Amino acid sequence: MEVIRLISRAVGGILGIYFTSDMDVMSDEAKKIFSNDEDRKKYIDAVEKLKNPENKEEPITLSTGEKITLVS
Amino acid sequence: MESQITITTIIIIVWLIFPGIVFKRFYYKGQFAKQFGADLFADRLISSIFWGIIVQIITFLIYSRSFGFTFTGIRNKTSAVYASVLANQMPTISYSDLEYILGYLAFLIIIAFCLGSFIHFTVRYFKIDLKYPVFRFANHWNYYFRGEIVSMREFKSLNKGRWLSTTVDVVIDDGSEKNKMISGFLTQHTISHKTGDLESIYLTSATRYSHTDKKFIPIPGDCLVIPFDKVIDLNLRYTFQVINDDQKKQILFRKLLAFCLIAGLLFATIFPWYLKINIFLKIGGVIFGCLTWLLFIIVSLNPLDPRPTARFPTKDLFVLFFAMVFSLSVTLLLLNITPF
Repeated sequence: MEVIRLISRAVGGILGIYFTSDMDVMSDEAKKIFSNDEDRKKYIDAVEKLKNPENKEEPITLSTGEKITLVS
Repeated sequence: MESQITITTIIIIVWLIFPGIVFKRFYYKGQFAKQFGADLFADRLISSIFWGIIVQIITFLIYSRSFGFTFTGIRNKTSAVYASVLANQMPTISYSDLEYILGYLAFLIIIAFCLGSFIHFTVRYFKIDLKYPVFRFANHWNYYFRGEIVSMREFKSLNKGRWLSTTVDVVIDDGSEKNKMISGFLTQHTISHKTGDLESIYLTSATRYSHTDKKFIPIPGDCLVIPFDKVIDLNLRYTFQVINDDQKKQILFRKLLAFCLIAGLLFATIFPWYLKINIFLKIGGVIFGCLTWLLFIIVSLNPLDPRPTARFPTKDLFVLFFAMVFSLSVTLLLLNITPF
């Protein structure tokens, strides 16, 4: 049973590269960010700052420790 | 004369138009589903017949290879049925003939579904619709809202990285003296079934411009629905993520993975149909062949994944390796490819 679960997880993971939704108007990464309150706040603040034409880039550090740089 | 017309009409509908309709139903899906019934009746009829013919050819090639019948064989049987009808007699159709006909019909629908889905997937995955306008779907809003326009030649200069989200600034006419300006993250949109025009947009984390405070203030609530007929102006702002070297490696790795996978899966799906074995063994061979290839790709490429969190522990890789060997053995046995 454990083996079948492992195989289905591995196969599902690898086939996932083909089956990402092409319909959502928000990317999977943004959805992940929005699902965490802390990250959501950081993201919204960064997008707000990018409204100013002087700010070309806006780096943020997510709660997972991942650093991403936003541009608009 | 009337019965001839009726029979011909039924044959055309069942064998040509219906598979074409199934094909189109699965080609126009997702945000493009409303294009399925949007054209003129004549256009829809002609395109359904066209795709119906393509589906028929593919189905016939596969089905005739699997069951070993020829065009002449079918023609002889159909001529016998036609001769009986002309002689005002009940045509003689055996139970096995009926099985073949119904099996063919079922296979026709399956092929139409698979082909429609596969072509839709290919056009979207390889961005063919963005590069070549002839392949573009009618719902152009989807391209604008998903930031896909940056892949089009006309908007190439906007491409700054990986698209994350779209922020919308709208000026709406709510009937009051001053128009309202609303801003928020675009989360969903709906399209009119009849006209294909934008019906509503759904915003989250929405703010509105306050004339008294001279700034944007948050709108209480979770999701703001704006009917598009109230919108005067619409401004889209895309937020992109800058791609660094690590992410470039990840993208390259995923592309390599996708290419290896599709090449192997296509081979595993097509090859068994050239073997002279029972159809059930062919289907089993296709299923286990695809599974073997998937497990082979996982076992060989997963340790090279640039994301450490995506890598399997060595113990799990061993389990997957033995599962791959088992699956390969079953495939070879089913396809009757044994060294002895």
